[in-house]
Amino acid sequence: MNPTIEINESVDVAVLYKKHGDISTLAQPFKMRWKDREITFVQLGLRHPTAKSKRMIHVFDVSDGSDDYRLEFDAERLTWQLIAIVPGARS
Amino acid sequence: MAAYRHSARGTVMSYDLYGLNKEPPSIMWIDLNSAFATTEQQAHPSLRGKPMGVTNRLSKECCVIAGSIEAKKLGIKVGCRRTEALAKCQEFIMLETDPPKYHHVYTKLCKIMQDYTPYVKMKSIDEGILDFHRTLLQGKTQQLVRIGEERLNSHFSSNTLI
Repeated sequence: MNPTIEINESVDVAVLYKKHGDISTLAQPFKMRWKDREITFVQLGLRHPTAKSKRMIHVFDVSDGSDDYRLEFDAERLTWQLIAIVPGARS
Repeated sequence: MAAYRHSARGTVMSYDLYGLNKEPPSIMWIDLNSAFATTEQQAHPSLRGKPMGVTNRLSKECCVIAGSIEAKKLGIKVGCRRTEALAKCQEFIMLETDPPKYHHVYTKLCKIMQDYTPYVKMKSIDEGILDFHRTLLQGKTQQLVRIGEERLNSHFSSNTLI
């Protein structure tokens, strides 16, 4: 019914600064280490800003080709958290 | 009520006969189909092409507030209860709403609309009116549809990481 698995754990993330137009670059998570697994993201679904109290949070919905991951970057504390996984079973 | 006149330039609608509006089309109304569900499918590539819906709070008897196009084809529409939806499709996926995500899509939609005309009036979170009067695009709405398709393709192709 609801396939979302909540995780809420700090993770190591490697970020890619991707060229976007002539003057700006976009930061996108590229790899993540979680539970001794290295996960490479192949697609960015959506990025949107939100707020937790007064802290600015960037939410990245990314996919490794089969599963979807919701990652949050705390722009004040400069930390990454894996919030949830939606197991793919992409048909 | 439309009447047509045949001329050397082809068949044209004869507006003059009935005193109809002769102005070229200069107003565009844009409405996102299944906006919340489509936004979730954009955020979660694994949900694309699957029947899914969005609800405010997941519970046993919650109802669909936005269903994906695939769900609508199966008869799962807005207001349909969770049990009814599951009876129609056992693989139906229900997610909880994520308002900041939808607000972000709303602001992006506003910005895209304002790239074409400064006269934009939003009617709700997923629809708005563009007025092309007094702009260079007045009466050229057909051209805008092509521009919109190109923009959509370029936006989604840039989301691939590797």
